[in-house]
Amino acid sequence: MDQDLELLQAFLAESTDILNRMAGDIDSLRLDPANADTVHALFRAVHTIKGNSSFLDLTGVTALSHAAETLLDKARNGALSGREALPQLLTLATDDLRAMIEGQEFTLDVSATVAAIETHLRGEAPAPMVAAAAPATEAPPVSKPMDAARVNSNFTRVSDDKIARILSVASELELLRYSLEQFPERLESAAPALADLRFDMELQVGKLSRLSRSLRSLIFGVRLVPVNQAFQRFPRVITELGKKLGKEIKLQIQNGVAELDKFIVEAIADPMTHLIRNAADHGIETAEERVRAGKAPQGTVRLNSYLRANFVYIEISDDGRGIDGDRVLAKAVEKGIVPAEKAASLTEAQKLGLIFAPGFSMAAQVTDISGRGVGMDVVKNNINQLKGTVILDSKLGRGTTIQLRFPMSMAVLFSLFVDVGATKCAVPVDQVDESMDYFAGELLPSVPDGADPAEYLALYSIRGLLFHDETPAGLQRRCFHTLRFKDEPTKAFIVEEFSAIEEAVVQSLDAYIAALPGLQGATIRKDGSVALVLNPQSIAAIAERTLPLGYVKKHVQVVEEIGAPPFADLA
Amino acid sequence: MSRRDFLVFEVGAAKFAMPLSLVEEVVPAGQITPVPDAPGFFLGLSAVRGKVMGVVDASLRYGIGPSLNSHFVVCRVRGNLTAIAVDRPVVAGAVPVRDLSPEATEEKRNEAKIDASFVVAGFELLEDIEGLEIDTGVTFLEIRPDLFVTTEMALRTGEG
Repeated sequence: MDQDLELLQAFLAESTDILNRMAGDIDSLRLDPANADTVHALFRAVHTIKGNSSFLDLTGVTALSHAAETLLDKARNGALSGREALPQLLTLATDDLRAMIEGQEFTLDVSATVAAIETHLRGEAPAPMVAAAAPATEAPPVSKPMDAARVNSNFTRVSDDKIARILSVASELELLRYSLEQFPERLESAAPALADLRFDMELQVGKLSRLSRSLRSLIFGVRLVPVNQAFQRFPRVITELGKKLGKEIKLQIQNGVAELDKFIVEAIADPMTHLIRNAADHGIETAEERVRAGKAPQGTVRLNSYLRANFVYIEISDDGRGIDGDRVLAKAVEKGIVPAEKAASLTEAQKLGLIFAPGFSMAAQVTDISGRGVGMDVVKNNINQLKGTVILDSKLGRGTTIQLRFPMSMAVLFSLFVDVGATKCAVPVDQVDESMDYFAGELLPSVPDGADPAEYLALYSIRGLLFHDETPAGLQRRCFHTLRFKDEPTKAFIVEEFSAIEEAVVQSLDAYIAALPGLQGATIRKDGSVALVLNPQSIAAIAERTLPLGYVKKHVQVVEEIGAPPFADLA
Repeated sequence: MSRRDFLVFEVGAAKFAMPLSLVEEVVPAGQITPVPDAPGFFLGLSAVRGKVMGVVDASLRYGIGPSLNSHFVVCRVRGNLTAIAVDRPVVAGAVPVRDLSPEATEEKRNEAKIDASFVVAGFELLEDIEGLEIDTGVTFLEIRPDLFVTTEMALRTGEG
């Protein structure tokens, strides 16, 4: 029951937001009735309310939102005549929805509104509406007396803007702390006689540092919540879906230790529900089908979350039938999303990517669960709005994995600062396996014949890869400082200079800057300048498409088993 | 005559105005760190009050001569804080102005050789502004930072 209450609370909070947005959209529809984006947004909104309410058995809400959805579906397909009545009908519907949701009057009689919408639909489409009729007419009265124990939404909604301002003051304070920490030493070198003063100052600055750090972690504590908070509703969702679809589905939740901004965790629940519904509805096969394919009769949907570099990954995977790129393509051509003459030139990844196009749907039948041409584009839009990325991977017959990737809002990472040309850059220490100097005399044009390639390193210049301005003179160096990144055992990257290992408060970049190659963020240095935080994976990917400057034989590392590994005290 | 809230600034020899509501603050220019694969007018990243933001060179963006870039005008461009490097902020506040006709604006724009796509309108200063060395009759061109939106596009295509 606790879980039910929690779900209901989340539903109420989310639906109130959605209804508020819809009110604005209905107003714009009055001014600009032909705007397809507005109709699309309204459609998604009622679709979300319908989907969520059906899991809570709020039949009145489901019936009404289903009717409104059908209306909007026709409108967005250009099949609705008498379109001028759309804002009025939607207002009628949202007023009732608001009364039910905000007033928690779930037993409200909505039959008049549903009937008004259906009459309008029938008025220009005499053929019976397959989807609309069923739940609307046979909607039984709500059985649960939810209003007996009225639910309080105990959320404190603080505007993102306010928190952003607090964070910006906190990071300014951090900056000040960095520069103050240097003062005692500078004081003593300027005036050795002031040693006493220096120690006093060191003590005070030390206190300030501790306070500033704990302030920072407190602020993060407010904002960061475990990602698996968003997972809580899913075991139940999967159970219900399995029942409805007549499939055996098991949900596995792995790991889930990663933390993300509270705002993001709340906002991903809805797109994740879409993805899980898709996995259960389209991905997982029926037990008979699975057995025929040599799989266990019970399908599995897995949820995982983990940290890598400066990103939080959330993974939803299933061991179902996978997505057939060619079928996706055929459907996209049929729907006019891809011109037929371009179809042949698409790569497998591009074919799969068509799933994210607006209006795309694979479902042969319209179901209550998914498959009304809404889903993947909604997911992608929602995730992109949160500065996240959706990565899709599917193997036919083996299953589908969808990764949602979010930059950490602000992470503190111990980083190796290096010079790349004249630009200060930082690489998080946990992504560096080795830093090593090689001499010009060791440089080879290729790996010698018959030698083991694993014993050699391909050399690349980060400056050349990112800024395309590696000068020939730059390669005449006597000695190369190189970095070897984690998971890249045969590549080494030249930097101009190593400087220091320091704590770096990594800020995520605005999306348009983050789209630039090789970056994962930026950090402010003690002198107030900005250092670029490099993304080793992205740099290695650029190197993959580039010819190396040459090869060197790996220096044999002398591993000393005594004492802690390097940087262990820092990490 | 009307008074409107503007930030008035100079870039090279040209004088511009930006609706004050779009401006977060004006700060002396800070150090700029160049970023890979950005178009020329995107100078790089700088930190303003603990926040890292992109810096756009107004003179390169408007297509006029080189400038000193002594100040950053921090404004919101499509929800992202962005610093626009300018020469000299002149005045911020209610400015007594007379609007120019579209033709006159066009003429001024040609005179200053400014990319038309950034100019919203032109206007003329009607009174001396107290304590500032501006003559009446000076023409300003009104621009809006949200017109920099092409910046984002140019940068995205740079990803290629």
